[in-house]
Amino acid sequence: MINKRIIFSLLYADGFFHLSRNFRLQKVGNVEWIKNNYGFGETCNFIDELIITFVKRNPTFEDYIQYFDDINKLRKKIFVPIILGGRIMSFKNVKNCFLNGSDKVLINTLFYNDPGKITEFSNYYGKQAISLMVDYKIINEKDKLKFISYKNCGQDVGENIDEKFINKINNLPCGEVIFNSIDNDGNGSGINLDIVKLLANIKKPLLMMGGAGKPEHISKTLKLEKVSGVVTANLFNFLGTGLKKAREECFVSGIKLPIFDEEI
Amino acid sequence: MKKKIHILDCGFGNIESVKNALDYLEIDNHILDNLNNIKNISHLILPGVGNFNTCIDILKKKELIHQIKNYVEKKNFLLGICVGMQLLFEYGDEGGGTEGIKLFKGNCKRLENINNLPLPHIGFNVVKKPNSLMWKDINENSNFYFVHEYGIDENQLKGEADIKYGVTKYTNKFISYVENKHGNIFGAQFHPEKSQSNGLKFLRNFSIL
Repeated sequence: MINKRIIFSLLYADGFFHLSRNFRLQKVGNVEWIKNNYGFGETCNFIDELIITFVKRNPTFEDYIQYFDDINKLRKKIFVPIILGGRIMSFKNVKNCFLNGSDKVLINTLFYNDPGKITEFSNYYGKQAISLMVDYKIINEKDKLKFISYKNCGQDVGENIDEKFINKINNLPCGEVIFNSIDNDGNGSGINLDIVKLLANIKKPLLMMGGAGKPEHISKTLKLEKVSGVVTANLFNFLGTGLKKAREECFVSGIKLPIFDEEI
Repeated sequence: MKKKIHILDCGFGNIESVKNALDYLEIDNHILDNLNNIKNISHLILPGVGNFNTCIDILKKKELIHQIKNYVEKKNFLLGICVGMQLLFEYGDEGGGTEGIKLFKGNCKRLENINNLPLPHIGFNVVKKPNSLMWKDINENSNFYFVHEYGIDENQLKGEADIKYGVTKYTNKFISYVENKHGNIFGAQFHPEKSQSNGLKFLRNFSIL
């Protein structure tokens, strides 16, 4: 039977990887910092996939060159799937991701603005090669929780997350969907699970993101049958052996994950 | 001895990930876009991230179907990965339905939608492996990375004499590995280049055939 997944996510702009808190970015270190602090050949024994999102606003051609150059430096010893995302608006963007080591691509704003493009991508690469990221906030309206999706890096309101929205996702030619809490982003307070009940009718693999600060946050979420994986982007919370500890905590909790401990 | 591996670039697939794995294993490799007038190729990978119908269209336009058939007739080694494996079968439903390269019998259909399991099948899962040189030094119940919604049901190869195959269970049991009777045509529904040490061993085994 299929295993659950722990996915590590990196945010990249201007030659640096960034920490994000409620979608506000803080520069952390360049590709050498990441390699030194996460030693990716080793770290990748404890993650199931890696997401790298390009968060540069209005990127120039040179920004893309620098981005892909750093991706290519980073991925030399990575033998888990790499998902590249951010600023994907055209078939050319998708193609460039695959030409630079991507195994899947991550879509966000295009889902709201031009979903027909996603069909175009999936007709070529297959829908399984497309991951959808839904950034969302929770609003307490008259003691009733309301879930709202956002686009453009959390800047603009997207749509209400309700059954209609869920059907739209089910009908979208994409392979999986990541729900990312803007409220919990980077605060390490735990992953918001209030939304999982609302997502009961999602028919694609469901991944939860935003708020994982310690191993228990990951294991608690992965215990939910509906959840296929957890994504964490916190560069400091899982520094050093953090991802290894998170994986060990999952094993102790009886969560099924593959073991990758063998050198070749 | 590790042989040089050629990667067929048909315009689809995660070519760079396959190349990255081969580079790490220090296997000499080269990317090419056709098999015309090229001599001394013994090991070829047909990688795959793509829609079956679109991939077949591309192979037809590039006149690669005939070239691939000629290549394997000479008992050269071919490894199809993911959709690259599916294309080796007779027919695929994805994208409207079209004929494949027809090196193996069987149709590639959408995985069954049962047991409330989400589709596509994405993540690490176990392969029940056959006895084959391709699986040398790989433990029973090793995990490999899958990302697909279509597959070849196990029942389609039952009774096929001399075909070796591996099976994986998700919604239904599907063919996750296949090998022809001559031991020169292989298919992996999983992505060895993305399956950590298990996948690297698998690729290394291919290179030393």
